[in-house]
Amino acid sequence: MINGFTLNDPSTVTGEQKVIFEKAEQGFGFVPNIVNGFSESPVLAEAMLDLYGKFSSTSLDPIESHVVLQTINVLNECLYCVPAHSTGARKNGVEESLDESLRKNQPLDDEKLESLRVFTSEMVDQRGHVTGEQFNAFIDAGWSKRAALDVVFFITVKTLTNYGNHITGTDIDEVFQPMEWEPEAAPAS
Amino acid sequence: MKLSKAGLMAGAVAMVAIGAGAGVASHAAVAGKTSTGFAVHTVESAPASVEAEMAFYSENFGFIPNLAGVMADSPALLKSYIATFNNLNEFGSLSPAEVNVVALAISRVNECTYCIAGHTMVGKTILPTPDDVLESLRNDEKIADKKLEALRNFSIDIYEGHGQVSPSTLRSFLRAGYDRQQALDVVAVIGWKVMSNVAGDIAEVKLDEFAKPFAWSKD
Repeated sequence: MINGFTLNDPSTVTGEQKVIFEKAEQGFGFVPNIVNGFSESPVLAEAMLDLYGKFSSTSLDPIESHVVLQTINVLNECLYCVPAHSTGARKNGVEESLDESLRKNQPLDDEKLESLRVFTSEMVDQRGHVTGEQFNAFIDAGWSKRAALDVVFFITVKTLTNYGNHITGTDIDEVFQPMEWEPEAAPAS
Repeated sequence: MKLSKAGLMAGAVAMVAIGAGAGVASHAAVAGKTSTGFAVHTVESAPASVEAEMAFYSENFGFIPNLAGVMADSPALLKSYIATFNNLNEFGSLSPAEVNVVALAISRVNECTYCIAGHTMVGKTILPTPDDVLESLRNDEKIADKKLEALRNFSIDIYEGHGQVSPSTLRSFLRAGYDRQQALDVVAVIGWKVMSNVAGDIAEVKLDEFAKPFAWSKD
């Protein structure tokens, strides 16, 4: 943890923090450090938990959702979120090779998933200002306009968690540590 | 912030009154499409799972804002948009004006014409914000009030750095009189605006009639 943020002892939290810890326990089976650190701001912790509860309301299946989420984690260089999502995805049957490509920000073999990865990257890098050509390439690959809006939803999820983690410097939970990740070094100039 | 139900209603009534002043007599409830082909839903055409969210708009505003009609096509998006506002209202440590400062600062960085007009109107109604502050935000200029300027600056730095802020940026924010909780609340407001700014942009959502008095363009 950085910037004066700390982890709370789950047995001593009270009030709204306690409610947040209980919700995290229900949703994730334990209280991940990210929720613990965010709980200093009930708004951010509640918003994160609310949005995590809505993945199944999107038109993307769990593998497609992982492609979008992990692509954003890598672009935003979230040292906490990449290992967390690798751990969760692999546990839920996402192929290791797929996740490895995402962690390295490399193209995917599957053409349709690759177009989803590319569109997500463009949306993040260009802050939603994608060109007509980029947007049409996404639609031509077989994605719906609703899927484009769902990508906006996932970008929001990651805005909350990636940005928040940069501020709190969340310690990686032990359970995620085998999947630790570092951004590729920038090419020497 | 903690807006009472009555406060919210009064704000919504004021918004509709501004619209009436602008000559908005009625709002045809016809489902349509944006110029980039996104559906603009009505109460009738929207997916059943967002019934409550659509009712929220029609009950409070008397019509469905175009952006809500577009977001409704992705229930996860519209539900999250309203849930995040409710969380800000219920648990937030920023004042209504401060929430609007962050919202408008981010909308300005994203150059979201729909959201800049919308949050100017919101600043005159639901989240009361001084006129000179609204003007500075629209023009991407420093706010005269030092504390609000520190908030504007911090929000833009976080957003432009994709969350990465230097310890000194955070220190100046804290020195201006804010605390760590508020630093994280800013992230929640940024998330709230990413939804509307980015959806507004890719769908090219048209301004609602009632927001036209506050139209913004880059030049």
